[in-house]
Amino acid sequence: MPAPIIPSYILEALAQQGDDRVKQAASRTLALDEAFRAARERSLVVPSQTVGTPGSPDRTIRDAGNAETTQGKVVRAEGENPTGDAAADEAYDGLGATYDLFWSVFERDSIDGRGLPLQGVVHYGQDYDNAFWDGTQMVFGDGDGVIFNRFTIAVDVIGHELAHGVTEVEAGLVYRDQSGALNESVSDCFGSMVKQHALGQSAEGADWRIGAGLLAEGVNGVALRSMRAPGTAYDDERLGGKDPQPAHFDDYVTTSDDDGGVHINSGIPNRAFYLAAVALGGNSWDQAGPIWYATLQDDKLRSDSTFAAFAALTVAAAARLYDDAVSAAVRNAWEQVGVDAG
Amino acid sequence: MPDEGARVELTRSGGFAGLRRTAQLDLDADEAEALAGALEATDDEPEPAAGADRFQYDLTLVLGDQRRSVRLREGAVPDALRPVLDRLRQQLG
Repeated sequence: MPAPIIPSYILEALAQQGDDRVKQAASRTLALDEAFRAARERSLVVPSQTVGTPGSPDRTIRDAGNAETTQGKVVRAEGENPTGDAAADEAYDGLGATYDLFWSVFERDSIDGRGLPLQGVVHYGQDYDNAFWDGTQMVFGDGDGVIFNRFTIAVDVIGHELAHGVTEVEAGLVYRDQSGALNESVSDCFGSMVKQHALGQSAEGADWRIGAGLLAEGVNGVALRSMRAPGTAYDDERLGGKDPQPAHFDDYVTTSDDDGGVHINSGIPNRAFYLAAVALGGNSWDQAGPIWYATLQDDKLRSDSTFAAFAALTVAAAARLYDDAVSAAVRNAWEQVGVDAG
Repeated sequence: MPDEGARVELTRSGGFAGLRRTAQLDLDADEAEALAGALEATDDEPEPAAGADRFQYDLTLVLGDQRRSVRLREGAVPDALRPVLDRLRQQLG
């Protein structure tokens, strides 16, 4: 699924369920999709068409009022002033920072590449220890306050959720086993780049932690995951013990939990990205980011891709975008985590 | 249906944090029978839910030495299983 088309079932759902602006945007995009598909069948080149103004996000933040609903009052629409509610304002700013990375570095206009409005929901559920992408929007819980703080507190979490939308559009990586762990890893890579880009951190200077600030005071840990050193982010009984992420393919975890351990085994490709970014120098979004992004967009990336197949495409993308030295550095990064890039 | 030893176990996994949590409840005979019926009507290996980072719930009814499990997706929990799931979720903390 290489074409930047948001699946029509999402658009249909948006066209039926969103607020008026979303409905209109989704309906327009559906119409464009139809035109695009028809044109593709005729093998014509379609001029790029966008919703809204390219280069500026169209954000809407809703407050679920601690119910498990993605409906709820709009508390902040695009261009409006801060609300004073930390979760709503962090979601607004974090979606902005994420849009900014995708636009300024990858020239991508939102999730679908065509200005899809960004929908965020905060205060989802009661003491809800999670954030997720539901196929149309990014949803954030408040955390329980004892183990987890609110999930908007870490900008990389917000970037992670939005990136799931991008992956769904570009690659449709099936959320199970290795392809699911790749899907998770891509979200961590882009989430981490959002944070580093917003803070102006180099690959060498960044902490490469996912969810720093998310663990409440007194919890023995620094974050939920470490891309630099998977398996070292926390060690606390209340989190089930030690961070279970493997750093090497030899330690791949086979489990029926978590769709086959997608949040566990993501540590392996996460570390490959970290190693590649540091080896290439400068900022993670200078070369490593574009290589991973090109891989996500590659026609050859299958929805059920293995780590090795994904790795091989990153090596090829590195050679295509840059040169043999960059390609060798990427291959070496995968080798260090035990993945043979072919 | 035995009138003792019936219980239901829950394992929640996945979510952004990827943590595993478990809970269990003892059931009386009526509850166990109702749950057995509801589980019978549930697809036990659903496709992954739309989206990402949602919770996976593995629910197991234990009747003596018999176990019957279903996998549920947050956001796609059958109405008949929602009350027992909600009771178990309260224990997860």
